[in-house]
Amino acid sequence: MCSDPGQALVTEAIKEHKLNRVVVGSCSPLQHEATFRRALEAAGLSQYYLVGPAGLREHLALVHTTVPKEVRQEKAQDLIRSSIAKAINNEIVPIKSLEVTRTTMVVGGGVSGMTASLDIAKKGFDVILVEKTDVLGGRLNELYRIFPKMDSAQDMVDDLIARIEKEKRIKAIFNSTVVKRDGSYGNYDITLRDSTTNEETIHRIGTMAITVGTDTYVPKQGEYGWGEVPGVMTTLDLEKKLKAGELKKPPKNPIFIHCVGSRQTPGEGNKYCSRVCCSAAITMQKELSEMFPDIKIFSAYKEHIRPYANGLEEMWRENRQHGVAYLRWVRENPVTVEKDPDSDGAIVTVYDTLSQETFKIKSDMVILAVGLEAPHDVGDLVKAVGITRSQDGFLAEMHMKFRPVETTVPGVFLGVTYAKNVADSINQARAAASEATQPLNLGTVEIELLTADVDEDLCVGCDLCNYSEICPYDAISMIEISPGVKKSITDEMACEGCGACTAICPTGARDLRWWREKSILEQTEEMLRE
Amino acid sequence: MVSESGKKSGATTKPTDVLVIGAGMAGISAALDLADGGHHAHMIEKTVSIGGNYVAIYKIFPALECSACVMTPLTSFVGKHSNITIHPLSQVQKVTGSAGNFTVTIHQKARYVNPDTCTGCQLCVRACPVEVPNEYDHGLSLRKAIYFNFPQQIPLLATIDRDSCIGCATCAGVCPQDCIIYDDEDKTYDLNVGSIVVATGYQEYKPFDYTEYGYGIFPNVVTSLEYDRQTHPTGPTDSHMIRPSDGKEPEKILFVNCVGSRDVRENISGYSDHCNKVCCSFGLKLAQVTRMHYPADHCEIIYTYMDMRTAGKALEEFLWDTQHTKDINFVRGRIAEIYEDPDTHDLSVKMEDTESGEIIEIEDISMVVLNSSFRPNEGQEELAKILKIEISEEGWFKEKHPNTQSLETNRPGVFIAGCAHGPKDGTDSVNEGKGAAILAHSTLPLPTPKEKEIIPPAEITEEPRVGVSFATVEELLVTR
Repeated sequence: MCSDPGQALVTEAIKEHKLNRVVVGSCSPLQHEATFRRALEAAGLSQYYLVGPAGLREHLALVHTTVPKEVRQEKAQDLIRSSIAKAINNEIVPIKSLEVTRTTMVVGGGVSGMTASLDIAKKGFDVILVEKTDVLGGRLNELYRIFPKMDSAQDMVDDLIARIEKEKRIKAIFNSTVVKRDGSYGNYDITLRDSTTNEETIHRIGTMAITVGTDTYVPKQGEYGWGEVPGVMTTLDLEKKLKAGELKKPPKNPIFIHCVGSRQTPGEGNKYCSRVCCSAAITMQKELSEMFPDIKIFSAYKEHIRPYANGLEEMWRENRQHGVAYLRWVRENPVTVEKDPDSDGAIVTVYDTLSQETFKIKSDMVILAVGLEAPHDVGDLVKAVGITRSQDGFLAEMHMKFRPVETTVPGVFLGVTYAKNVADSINQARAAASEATQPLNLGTVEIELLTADVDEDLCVGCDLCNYSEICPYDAISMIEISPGVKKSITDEMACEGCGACTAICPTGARDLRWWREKSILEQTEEMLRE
Repeated sequence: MVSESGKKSGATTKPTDVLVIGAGMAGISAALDLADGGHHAHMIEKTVSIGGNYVAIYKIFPALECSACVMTPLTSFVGKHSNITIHPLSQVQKVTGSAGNFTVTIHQKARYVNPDTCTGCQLCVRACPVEVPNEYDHGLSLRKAIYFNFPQQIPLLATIDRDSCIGCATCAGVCPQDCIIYDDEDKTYDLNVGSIVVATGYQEYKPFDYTEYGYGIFPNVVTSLEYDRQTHPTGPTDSHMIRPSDGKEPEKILFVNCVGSRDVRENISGYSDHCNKVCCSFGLKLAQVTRMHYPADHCEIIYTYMDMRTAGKALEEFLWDTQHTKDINFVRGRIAEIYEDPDTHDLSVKMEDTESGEIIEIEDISMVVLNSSFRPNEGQEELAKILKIEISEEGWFKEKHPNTQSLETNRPGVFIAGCAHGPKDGTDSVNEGKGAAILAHSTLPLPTPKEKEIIPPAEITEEPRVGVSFATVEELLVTR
């Protein structure tokens, strides 16, 4: 029905029968309202005269599998009749076309944010690059060499910073975070706060790309000996040591422990796989085996080893050929780390399911491959911009597969929705930049004014909608239309159509466009009719 | 205050169109982002319809959504977009010029059907007397010499496979619109574009080299994509998974991971040392779809693996669900050999259960699904020569830099996205398609907006006239 021929059927039927309202019964509006609205427009009928698809799938076929046919038939009829009642009451919603501000704000100045900024600037648009710290580069400032080709992270960062500094269209603002979003799609007013001066500045932008990266999991006190046993560190700690050239003497039996803060049993912590840590650990094992060819390196992985990045399966094989020992443990019999009573190191106990032997390894370097999480202060950004987070704590996209960078806020796109390696992070940031430049290319945005309007004849100027502050978006004010006569008025650009004011209005003067009270009441009546 | 920035295109002679080679998921994502941003995208597609491997898949991991539910309206939208031109049955023959100004010569094969009059009614398909193996179903079904890949394909036009056509003109006789053009000819024409995006995808590795598995000899040993077609409503078995040898419902299905990848043996054709990244999740999805179709007391499902590499968003949770709630038996080990009973065509395997250390034999297996890997698509090397871009050691298109420039090639103005440069899942392909879009257009001038087509408003009477349309019961139940 939703494919080309199906849509054509609807368009033809409208023309043939001179229809002025259409009801579709199939899946759900989220899935195909836009699809069938196009079919109406193709026939010259306003898309707003469509109701549906009425949920014959999610609300009927998928959930009522055991009730008798007559009951299902009745519900189907209820759903369709009520949709028809709404369709008859539908009205055309005005659409406003506005010029867009040809500036994108990129939040997060790591390699992803910098790459996205350069792409956008190359097109000729201005970029405001907002960075929380006082330097650009983000995570790669802490890393040493990046898989698969062991390229220098510092070189990558330096090259990007040099290009950013040369590009006049990019303005980098440091020590700042986003604290508020005002305005409307295509012309947002974003408030930034400088953490060093507490000063706030407001910037007018068209679209936003969020590339804030990730933070590492912080192990709990005592977790695998963290904070209690000497020699226990994270993979990030080891990277920093490698970068600073601090490893001068060979470590004794360095042992990596995978999945710290990832793949935890539901109810015990982060359920997800952090995707990059196995690859990172394998890369570090290669580094260590090259620096110190005579030491024995161990890697204790949890159930599955995941050299997921390109070229890493091959690097893992090479590591094994060079003598790195990969031990497999399962969560029913986890690895334990205790202080070695005889030395200033640790004893790591692993039951390896592959050899079916228990290993007690004396080590002075226990490296916890920590997982990744959304930045620990991302809650502030989420509140400021009005976006949401997924179950796993990362920023939420509209659809994991088909709309991987859109958010619930038009014009705001995500360059990070999960733990990813450098290449995938940069590519997603570019995807966000691509969407962010669409309205900038076109020069205008179309805003659907699905808002609350006021019937001036019914409005008695009681001020309840305004005084009660019930509007979450500050879209209501009172104007004096003649001496002593006040009427309520809606700021159409700020109104988000939530309907709260229409509920509180005692005379019924306030009503939601396309969701009129009469329409909802008639819909309900039809649904309840025997 | 509106910024004055943005290069103006004005009366430029520099093209703002972009060429997208390959109309799979990555190509579609690139084309849509370009088109929505005002640039015209020319999609060059080798086969008769767009969507590539992704539109042929039934359910997508991890949410087990129906792929067609999103892909059919998406491809329909692509087909209708005023800023996208689809060139089916086409390949790139020659490229001259440089970044910002390429002249691309396209060779389009003859369709033998008039694209302006064909409505996709399929009367010709019903009438055609010739049956040949259907490549879209990986040879599991037959198609006619005049055919559609599936009934909702875009563009919705019939095509005659001239090699199998016998010229009987039955199709021409039944076609109500007189669409058949027997003397249709191949066309060659030029396009002037500013940038090129290569999104030619992959093909499935067919494991004939695994002689110990009997693929191609034992009828009940199939690959993952072949089995997926069996689960598909437009596939060869109407969404009902059955044994190819006798059409009976399977009572025991065995899944085998890592076929054609993580394998350093010399006899495996193509590059096979890598981890193919997506097959673990794909295999789990097939196991779950099998369980949705056949309850545990009807069909036993055994999943064999070395490591489960479900390392994407929500995929670890998907693995947990498959392992703990679906009555699917996971055995960690690589199967050594598949044996067949020549009378029943039942299969049995011998393998080591590496968690217990024991050698086990599993008998009376109805079907074995080999979770196969990806290989570069046909014609990759020739295309690389035409575009003057490099191929990596692993056989995929070569990235300029594996970390910071993985969507760029050695040639400015030519970009890559999706599986064309290495195996990856749908999410990554979509992100890369979009990323390639901005790379492609950021060096081009602003496009001049197209005149919007004015559709005359319909005559509307005061009295409401409501039309109600339904999706069929099959559609609703099958999109489960």
